[in-house]
Amino acid sequence: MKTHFLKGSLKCLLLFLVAFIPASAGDVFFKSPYIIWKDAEVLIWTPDSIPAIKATEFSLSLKRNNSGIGDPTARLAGDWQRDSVAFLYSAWLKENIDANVHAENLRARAPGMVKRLTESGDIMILFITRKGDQLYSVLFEGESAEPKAAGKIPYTADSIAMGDALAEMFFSGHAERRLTAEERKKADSRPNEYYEETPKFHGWAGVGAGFTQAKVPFTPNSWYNRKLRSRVKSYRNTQDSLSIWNFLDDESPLFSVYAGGTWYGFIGAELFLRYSQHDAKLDESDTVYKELDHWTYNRYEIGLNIHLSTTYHTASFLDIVPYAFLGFNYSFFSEDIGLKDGVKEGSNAYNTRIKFEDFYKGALIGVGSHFIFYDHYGVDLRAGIASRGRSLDREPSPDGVAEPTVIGGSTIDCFISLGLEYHWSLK
Amino acid sequence: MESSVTKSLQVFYKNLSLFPDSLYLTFPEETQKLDERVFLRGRFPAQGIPVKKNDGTIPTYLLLIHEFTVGLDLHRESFFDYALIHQEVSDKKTSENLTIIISYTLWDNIKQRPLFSSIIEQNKPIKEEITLDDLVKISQATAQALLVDIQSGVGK
Repeated sequence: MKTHFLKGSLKCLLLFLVAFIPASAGDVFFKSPYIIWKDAEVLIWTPDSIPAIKATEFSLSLKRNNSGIGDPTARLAGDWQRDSVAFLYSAWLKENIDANVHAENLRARAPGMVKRLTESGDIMILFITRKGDQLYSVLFEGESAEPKAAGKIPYTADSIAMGDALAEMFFSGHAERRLTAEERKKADSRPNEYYEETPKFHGWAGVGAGFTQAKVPFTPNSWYNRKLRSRVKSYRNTQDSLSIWNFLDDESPLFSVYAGGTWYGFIGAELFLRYSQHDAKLDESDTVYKELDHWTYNRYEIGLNIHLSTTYHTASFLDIVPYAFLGFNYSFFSEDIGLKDGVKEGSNAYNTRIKFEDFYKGALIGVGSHFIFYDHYGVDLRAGIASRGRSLDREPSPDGVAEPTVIGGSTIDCFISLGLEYHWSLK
Repeated sequence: MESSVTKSLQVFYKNLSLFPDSLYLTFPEETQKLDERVFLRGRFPAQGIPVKKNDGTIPTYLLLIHEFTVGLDLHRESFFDYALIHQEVSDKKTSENLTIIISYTLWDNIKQRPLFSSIIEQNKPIKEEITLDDLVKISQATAQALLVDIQSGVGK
């Protein structure tokens, strides 16, 4: 019973395998992953006196077969064919290439040959040789002395048809951009992901501009309607005074200056200073404001963030450092008020107008990301929520219940900010 | 010992001829992986150049003997198994066996590629003392084991 089941599942597996092998005119012996380069340079290398395919025709075959391959060039490896070490290996390869041979057994062993293959860079080497009525082919790519793929196609006199078949066999699929010499050098010297050098300290300083508002996106309007619709009557009266947004316009551009650093690419801190300007929301129907020229508040916030970040090396010139931050801040609302020219003295209501606390304590939380170009020049994008309100660290007094509510005891807004930064690392 | 091994082999392989060590030493040295953990270090003829006899003919197969170790109570794992290679051996006053460890490759000289590599451990219990006769006998036994190994290896 068990064996029957096993046999059945094996058959299924075989069927699956057959179904997933792409149809091809040729017979592929083995194929391990390799990169097909865009604008590929293909070296056709053969020990035969007459090459089975022509280089110019083959480059056209490549283009016909794979539209993403760009402008490939193919040429005959004349210097390889004249070199005695390469010739010995090509003769050996011709002798040994067979349907049941594994890639590791076809590896070049002579040091000279290994050097030649590994130093070919991003040039793809296509070895072809005729044995009887079959054209055998072996593909080398990358810094390996072991072939990446091998196969055979029936030999015909039609070199274009054979070129097409070879192109279909080895060069179908996504083509990648070729790296410049400098990029390749950098890619070679880059340590692997398990041994990446992380600087001990990485610092930045930047300036940012953004926007702040009370309404947090994707939250219902009903949470804010009461505050946002509120207007100040006779310099101090509102329905509610818990949030400063009952008195001031919450929407404002936000400017910031900040400097910070991370240790070991993970944990860090940042000092910041933020500035925004908020107008008082006057109830225009109140005639008492006729004497008033302007009434705004400048908000200054100073604080400290704790950063948790991770670094991704995406391209040679770009590092992306997403982070989350959590911090506290002190908010200062500095009043700027003026009466119209000609009004010597303000009304009684003007003199007894609302006063905010000297400062508010608050917290902020958010996420962001540094985009660091060429190790030093950063663009930063961040968004978060900040609060400010009553100091909660004061001892409650016995008659605290009787005390009036602290004005602006719970003032919350969200912000988004784009910054330009300079980065540096200490190893 | 060498002659007793070759004599034993010649019983089976009539036209066995012997190449000198100096030829073997001209080959490039390489490491061959036999198993997940078992590695063999030896010299193998270069790709594309078949080894020729003095009369110009090309033998079909070469038997490359990389190492031939004679000792007391040896274990092949201690020499070739990557995981066990650095084991410490306790001091011993007496030994039970005379051991020969031989690592070899059967080489396809026409296509210049290895056909079969193996490591053989041959033991012979020591009765009282080791005589020259013991050495000859263990050499012959090793040659027999080699033959059996090659036959079974080729059969695979």
